[in-house]
Amino acid sequence: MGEYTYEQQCMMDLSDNYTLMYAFIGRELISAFGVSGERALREGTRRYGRDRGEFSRKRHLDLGIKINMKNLFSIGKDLPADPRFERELQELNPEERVSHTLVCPMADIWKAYGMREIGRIYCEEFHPACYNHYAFDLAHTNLAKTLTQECDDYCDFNVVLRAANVPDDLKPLCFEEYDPGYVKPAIEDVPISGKRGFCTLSVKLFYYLLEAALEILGDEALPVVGKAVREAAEDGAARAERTRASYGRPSLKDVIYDTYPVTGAPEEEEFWNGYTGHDAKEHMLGWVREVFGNA
Amino acid sequence: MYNFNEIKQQNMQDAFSEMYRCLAESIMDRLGDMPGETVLREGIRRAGRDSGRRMLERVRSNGLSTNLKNLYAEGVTDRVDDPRVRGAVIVDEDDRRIWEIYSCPMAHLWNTNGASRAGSFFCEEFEYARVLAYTEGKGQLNLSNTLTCKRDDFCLFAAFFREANMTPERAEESREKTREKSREKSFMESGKKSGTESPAAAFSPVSFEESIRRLTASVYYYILEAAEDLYGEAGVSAVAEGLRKWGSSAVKALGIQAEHTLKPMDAVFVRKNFPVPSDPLEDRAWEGCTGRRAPELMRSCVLDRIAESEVN
Repeated sequence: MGEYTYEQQCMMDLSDNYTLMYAFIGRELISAFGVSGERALREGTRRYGRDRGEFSRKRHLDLGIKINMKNLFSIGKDLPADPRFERELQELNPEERVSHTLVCPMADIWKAYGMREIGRIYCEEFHPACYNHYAFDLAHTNLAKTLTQECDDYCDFNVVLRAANVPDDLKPLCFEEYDPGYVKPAIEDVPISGKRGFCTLSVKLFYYLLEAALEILGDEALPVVGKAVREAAEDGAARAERTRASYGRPSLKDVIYDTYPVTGAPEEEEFWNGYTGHDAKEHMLGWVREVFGNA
Repeated sequence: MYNFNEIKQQNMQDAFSEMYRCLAESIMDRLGDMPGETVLREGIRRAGRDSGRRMLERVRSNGLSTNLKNLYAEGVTDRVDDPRVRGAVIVDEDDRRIWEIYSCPMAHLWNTNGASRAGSFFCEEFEYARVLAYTEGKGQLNLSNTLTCKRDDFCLFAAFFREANMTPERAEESREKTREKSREKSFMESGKKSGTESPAAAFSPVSFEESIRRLTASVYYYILEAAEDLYGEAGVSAVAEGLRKWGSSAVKALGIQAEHTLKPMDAVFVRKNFPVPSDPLEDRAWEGCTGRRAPELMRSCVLDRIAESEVN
């Protein structure tokens, strides 16, 4: 047993498995289709980013929270904190969020698997798509350094939403000072489980990567994505076995459920709502069950 | 120590920075802080877009690759730095450019004259709009640090323009071709034999003086345009007030500059040290910037005052 609790280890495994599913799919698409595969990967990543941005915006609007940088980066996170993550926050206000990420578990595992450049594509496409779209496509994400870039040793985030660039009709939705009488609602900080968070995100990520691959590359992409998903699941199964052994857990099946975002368990059913197009669910569950069915 | 030629360039650069500072101050005073900021950001974006579109046309019409590298390549780019700019290019590739600036005369002038915030509008909007226009909306410009921000002691730019995000046509056009090949092609097409005419004739680099005159004309023009579009006569009036302030400041600055170099402040001196010619309509730098009575306003608020102060 290492320095982390079993629950923490599961959360980190979930994160690594989610991160690697992206990398395996990206690697296979580029390997099979070259620049066209990269085009699909980038497009799928952007769609995924926009979905997450839009989801956060809707949730904030439903809660009566202003759509701005302070709230984006402080209210209603969709994942629990990863104990390996290190960040220094330099500025957080409604117009800007400036921070340096010093240790990113996603970048670390991409590097460990020799897939830093695939990770770089994620950083380059996901963050602007997500943050800019959250703020009605009026924000500007500046990410000039990332840990996935060969010359960088930290991520340099400077994400801005300038009130002067927001049209008058949207200003009251974004900034308290433009909404006279606004009373900020009390927000209950509900902890989110790693399993729930990563299952939600993995379904979305897979869905958009599949969608973009089928649209841009055609049906030939399907077996390529399938191969990648099986590779990711096999890698996840090996990770689960290491965790099972380290923590003396009796059932590998249970550890796989605890550490892999999508296993086909009935409890995961709800996360597919809205993401069943392109037979995404059937494809994904078929592929992962080929691997986990043997566990 | 800089030579006389470099000092003239610095004088022109500082005059541009001062023009922007005066316009920003008047616009924010007259129209209000937030409306003024909106006008300035919009005007700068328009100028940045214009610059990016012109660069794309320049690169295209000369048969060069329309990749990211050529947007910034020495001898190709139409934006030439003041000799005081100090920085380092970290990565210079066809689809990726990362660079840092440690010393910027614009930021220095704005920071030392209480205009850091207004200056930051320029930093945040101009290059971003320029890159987006040049890449037809498919590129990225990340500016994580700026010298106009009190937290930072350098500017950090990272631009990306990936083949996988381009249309197939643009990807083909962006692939690296050698300039020699493109020149050969242009000579072949014109029926001339390579070697009978200097290749340089096919493509002329932009000088610092041309670059700063264009930047001055376009930033002024597009701020005027945005001010008028958003606030009508009140916007134009705010710009005019800014120009008058700049006129006073320019007369003073030119006088000092002439004195320090033991020259008379005459028409020749002004032409070599100021980024607006005595007749804007005769300068190619003002192409596309002559609407909205922009030259007339510049003449009455600035150029006539300078002319009155010149020694004959």
